[in-house]
Parts: sequence; structure tokens; C-alpha cells
Amino acid sequence: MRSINYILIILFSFFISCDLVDPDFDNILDTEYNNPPALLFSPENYSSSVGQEVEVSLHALKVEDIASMRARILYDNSKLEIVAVKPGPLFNSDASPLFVYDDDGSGQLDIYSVFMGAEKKVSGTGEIAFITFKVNGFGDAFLEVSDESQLLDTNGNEIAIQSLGQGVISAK
Amino acid sequence: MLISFKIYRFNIIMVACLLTQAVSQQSNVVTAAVIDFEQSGISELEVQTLTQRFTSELQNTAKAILFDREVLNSQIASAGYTTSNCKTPECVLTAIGDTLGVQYIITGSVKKNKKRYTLKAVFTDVETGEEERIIKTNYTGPVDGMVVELEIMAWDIMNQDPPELLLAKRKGKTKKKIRRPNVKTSLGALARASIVPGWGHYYLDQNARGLPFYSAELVTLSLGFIAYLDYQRSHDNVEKYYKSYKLETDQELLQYYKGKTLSAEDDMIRKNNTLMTMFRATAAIHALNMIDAYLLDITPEPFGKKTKLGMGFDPNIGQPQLRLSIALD
Repeated sequence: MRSINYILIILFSFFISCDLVDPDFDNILDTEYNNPPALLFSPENYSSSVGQEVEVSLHALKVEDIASMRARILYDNSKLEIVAVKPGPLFNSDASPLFVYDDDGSGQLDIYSVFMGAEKKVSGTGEIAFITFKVNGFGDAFLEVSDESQLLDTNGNEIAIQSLGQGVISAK
Repeated sequence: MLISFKIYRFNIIMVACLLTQAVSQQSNVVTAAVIDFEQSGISELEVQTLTQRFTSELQNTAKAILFDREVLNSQIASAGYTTSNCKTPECVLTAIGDTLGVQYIITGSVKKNKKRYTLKAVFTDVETGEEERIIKTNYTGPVDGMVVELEIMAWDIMNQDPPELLLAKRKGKTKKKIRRPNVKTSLGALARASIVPGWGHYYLDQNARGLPFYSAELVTLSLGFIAYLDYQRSHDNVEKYYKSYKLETDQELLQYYKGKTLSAEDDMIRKNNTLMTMFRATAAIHALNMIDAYLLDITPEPFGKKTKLGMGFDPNIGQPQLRLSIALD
């Protein structure tokens, strides 16, 4: 019986192996994970408490020659309330664009950023806006970039957005 | 004239010793001395009688030439011990050593507790001091049945089957245990080989055969350990670069960390494969080592190892003796 135990232990060592890390390349800004051009939240998940404020970053991923943009953000207005919307560095270049937002409290936020002049445009990846939410309810509050969002070139032609971001604010 | 007589007598003793030794080796007959058994619950006189019965039966086996007990006791007494207190192998060997020229001593004990007797006989090699055979019998029943068990033990201690006539006399309940502490077994070799490679071979005096297993396993284990350290380093790198990748928002750095993560991951998998190969090799060597140790022939002691030249003292003639023993097995 003891011999059998020894044999089993030795056989077991034939199958022994160390723990292997299998990285999931799921960074939201990785162009192999999300097809560009894209409008995304990064990071996607936020934690907060009721009554506190959370700043969410809205990113543009690998956009080319964008002259104007409308980002429509849908959010859970039963749990979240817009406090402030600020322009991000991507559109906040030397030729500062017109940056306005519209929120009627119904759970739909529209952010507009438009360059004044025909030749002004931006390309690349970066933050286009910082949205500050106040958390009013417990649980998960979902955010998403609507497919009604638009990216336009200098000629006013619409550039198809390949990926639209989603986010969650978890309130304890 | 006197000198030539002494030489003549010396030659006679020498020839007698050699002949006795040669005859005893050829027919597996050994020379032995029986020491009075230890006792508990019975008297000294009773145990002496029982020892005498045991000795008589021992002579019936025709496998032992027994040393005279009177001479033995006088030798023990002359060494400053009393026979009633010097009954263990350790004490007897300390008292007389191998001066008597016997190969083995037989000690034992008889313990009585109501109707239950515990009988023990130990067969000890005088030269090595090792216990070659231990017979222990627990007997419950009438006293004459106990004497029969003692007589059967005389056969067992000489590794002989007791005669049917003796077995037929058995009474009461008996539980017997025979141990051979110094007999090397394949299972003993297997158990040792399973713990340390080569130990089983060492146990069977096959050092040269066990050393390659030990060395090979040491090498594979060392290489495995080095591979493990490399793996650990790669594993840490994967975690480090992956964490940076996850947190990065800059496109260039993100791709840089991704590349580094992938490269570290490849390295980690490669090192893990090496590690597994080394452990498999170690396990295979270990298994081979165990099988080889188990299948090894249990070789008897090499010829000549038992050959011995020494001095002894014969109390019968009151003179020193030159003793030569040759192993003929």
C-alpha cells in the first residue's frame, strides 16, 4: 500500500506545473481591443459612495482629422446627476474649439466641440471631456456613449465611429 | 622436549579449531553460547531449568555447537559480573567479548503474568554485536504448554522447522513474532530509495550503482531549481508589465508595455516548460532508482569478510589460543 502511495506521488510530479499568468489585453484604449475610431470611457469602472462626486474621462481613440464632434452620453438619471463637464486636452489645443454641453436631467448628455475655421482639426488619441457626476443612489449606475454620437471632418463629412464605450459607477 | 610438546599441543588445538570451523561452515552449523534467560514472575531456579530445556532442544536441531555453560558462567564471573545480573547481549559481550571463540550468543527472557507467558530469545552475532534474529512468543495456557513453546523457539531461533511431534504437543493460545533486524530486504531498499536516490543501493552495499542516480537527480533538480528562479523572474515581469499596460492611457507606452508583457509571457512559458522537463526527468530518475534498488539482488557478504585471525583463552586448558575462522559460504 505504501509503495502505491510512493508511485502515485512520483507520477503526480509528471503533471506538476507552475501557475501561468494569461494576460487579457483588454485595455480600453488598446486599438486591438477596440476598433478605432472610437469614443470610450477610460477607465470603465468607478467606485464611489452616495453623495460623492466622480469624474469620468471620455476618450477619443485614434481619430483622424476631426473638426467637430458631438458625443451623446446616456446615463442613469435616477442615480446620477451631472455636476460639471470640462474639455479634455485633445480638443483643448492652441486653437481652442467651441465647447458646450447640454444636459436636461433626463439621462442624456450632449457634448459639442467644434473648431472655428475650416483648416482646424485634431488627430490621435486623448481625453475629449471630463464629466463630473454626483452619485445619488446605491448600486450600479450605467453610462454609455450613444450611437447617435458624431465625428465630422473639415468638410462636414461624418466619420463612422467603430466602437462606443460603456461605463459603470458603483455606489456603496 | 617441553617446547616441542607445547608446539605439538598448539598444532592439535589449531587443527581442531580449523576442522570444527570448516565443518560448521559447510553444514551451516554455528557455534553458540546460551546465556541463562532473564526472568520475571518466576524464580531463578525455574528460569535456569527452562534455559536448560531450551538448550537441550537447541542441541536437537543439530545446527549449533554449544559452548559449555559452566565455562561460560565462570568467564562472566571472572570478568567481575554475576551471572544472575548479566543476561543481556550487551552485558555478556562487554564481559566476555569474543574471547570464547563462539560466533553467536543466545539470550532470552521468560516473563509470567498469571497464566500468560512472554518468551523471548535473541540470537546475537558476537563479532558485530548485531541482533540477527529475535523470536517473541506470547503464550496463554498451562505451564507444560509454555515449555513446548520454548522448545519450538529453539528451532525457530536456528531458522529450522520444528518437528511435527513437538508441534503436536502445543497447548493454549500462542502469538509469535519473528524479527530479523539486520536482514536486508528489497522492500527496505525500495523504501530508502524512495526517500533519497541511491540510498537503497547504499543500503545494499551497491554504492557505485547508486551514485549515478543520486548525481543525476541532483543535477536535474538543480537545473529545475534554476529554471524555477528564471520562471519566477519572468512571472514577476509579466505581472509588472501587464499592470502598467492596464493603467496606461498613452498609446505608445501602451503598445510598449503590451510588447513587454507578451515577451515576458513567452519567456515565462519557456521557463515553465524547462521546469516541467526537469521535474519529469527527476521523477523518471527517481522511479528508475526505486525500481533498480528493488530489483537488486540481495548479495551475501563477500567471501573473506568473515575470515578472522585472533587470540582467545581456553579456560579448560588454562592457556591462550590462536583462532582462525574462514567463511566458506
